[in-house]
Amino acid sequence: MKDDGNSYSIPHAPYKMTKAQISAFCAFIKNVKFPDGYASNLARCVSVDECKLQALKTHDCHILLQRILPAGLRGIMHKEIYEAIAELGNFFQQICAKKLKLDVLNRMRGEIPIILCKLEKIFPPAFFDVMVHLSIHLIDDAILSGPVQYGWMYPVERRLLTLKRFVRNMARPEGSIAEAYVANECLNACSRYFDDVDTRHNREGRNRERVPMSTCGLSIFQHGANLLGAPRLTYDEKDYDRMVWYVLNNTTEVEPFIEYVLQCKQYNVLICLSYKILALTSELCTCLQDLQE
Amino acid sequence: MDNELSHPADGEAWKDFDRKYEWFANDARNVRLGLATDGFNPFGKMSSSYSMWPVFLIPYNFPPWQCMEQSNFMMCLLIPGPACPGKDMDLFLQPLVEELLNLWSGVPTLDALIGKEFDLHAVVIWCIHDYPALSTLSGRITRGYYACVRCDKNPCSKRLRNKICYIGHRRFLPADHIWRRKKDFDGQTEERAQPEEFTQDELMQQLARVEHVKPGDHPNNKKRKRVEEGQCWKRRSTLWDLPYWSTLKLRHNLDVMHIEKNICEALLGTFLDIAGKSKDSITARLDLEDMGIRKNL
Repeated sequence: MKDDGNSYSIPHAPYKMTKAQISAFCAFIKNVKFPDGYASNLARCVSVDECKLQALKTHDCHILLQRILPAGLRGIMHKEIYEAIAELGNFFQQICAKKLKLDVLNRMRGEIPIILCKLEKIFPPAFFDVMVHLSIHLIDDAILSGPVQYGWMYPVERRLLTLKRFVRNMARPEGSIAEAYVANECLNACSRYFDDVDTRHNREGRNRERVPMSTCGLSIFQHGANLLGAPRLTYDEKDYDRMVWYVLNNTTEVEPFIEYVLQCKQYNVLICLSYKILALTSELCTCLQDLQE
Repeated sequence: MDNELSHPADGEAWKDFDRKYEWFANDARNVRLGLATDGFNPFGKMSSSYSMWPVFLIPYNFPPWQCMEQSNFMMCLLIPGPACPGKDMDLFLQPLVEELLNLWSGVPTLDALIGKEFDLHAVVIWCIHDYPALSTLSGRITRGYYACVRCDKNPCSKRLRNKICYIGHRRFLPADHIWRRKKDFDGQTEERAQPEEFTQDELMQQLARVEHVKPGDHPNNKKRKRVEEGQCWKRRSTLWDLPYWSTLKLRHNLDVMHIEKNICEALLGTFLDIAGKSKDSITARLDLEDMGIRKNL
């Protein structure tokens, strides 16, 4: 704080954004696109005057800290700040993984004090409440308990909302919950014995990763895809070339031919595509067309 | 695989339990449970003077994709009341603990697969809750100087003008790290080692000191007594009555969800300077002045 005689002024701190930085950051958040089912629509959280993020849900914070802040602060904030936040995001990203590796955890045990020290250099001491401090103990806990998803509150909080919805008679909340809970348990127990009926336990996920729909024997088309949204794709000549390029470069069956061609190049022999490659490419083209339809 | 952790069974706490109670581990039908609790207001925002505390048991004997599924949660208690149960939690937990003791000694159950009766055992391996609920459930203090439940001795808390903060993470660095000698962190060099946890004996001593604390409006509870220096536990939770409880390596999980949320909100509040959420205030700048660092702010 600076004393100007009669008044005090607070100088601008590097960890605070200026107006221009805030609007740049909010514009970035507004334009972020996520894969289906990955996160909620973050653009909704940007306030109308584009200078605030509001009504953030817990899962939004989860995504923001791990994925968005590291990317969004780049070029907006000072390099030191950006790097410290990116490392913190990366730390949480690794500790929230479905499968943890012991050697990675042991390495991270050395990293987290350094990250917190970097933050201590940037932010004022008032920033460091006990929650920030607790992140230093997460590694030891993860080694003891296994992946954090078996010990965090997400499923419990979801359950609380279900219980809250059970309350129909506001005068008797406990009674409504108990009654609905028993009914629900009975239905659950019964529905587990229905094999041929659609129940919530055998319903297929919204996003199926592996749908067998291949029409030819090539490895790249084996995994299949579940196409959502627009039924017809349109693309120009350039995109088509790119697709052919991608397929040719990512198919294991083509690799020996590419090597062969490269060897020919080394001996300064004119590159000529063998009949086999031609046959393959035409097969690929038909596959692509199949996919398109 | 030794290196990979993909289920609580790969964690050290689970394995340690197996080593201590081999008879329990030998029968795969024995159930391991997690105890989860949190409070919510069934009336939404209409009336804030109501708090309901369901207590769930979550079985961990499932494969990873079924383990935390909502339909597997067993709600065993529903504690109603105008406010968070606080230290009365023990009273409400007593029926549950009684049943858990029964389950530990074994309950005759029919195995439908082989058509024979056997003794089913069950054990609570850890609790899941947010940070304030940890204090309600366990009796460990979660505020003030000893707020961190993993740093029992010499915590890195420090008094500021209007709150207590947890700085000095240089203590977790190796002893010869160059940052320990720098003075731009808090104006001093750092020589202290990292905070320690209580040993088993010290923990028992701490609990023995608070054994007399009774729940409810007991006349002895009226007056606040002076707490001894270094006392981190304010009551002996009824969960300690479980014979295996003191041997568990991890009793209370730190909740990653809330830690992430709070850090992210604090970061955004400070970056975007949202009124009421920013950690950067006049007092924060005065703290800097008191410590004599970062003169340019």
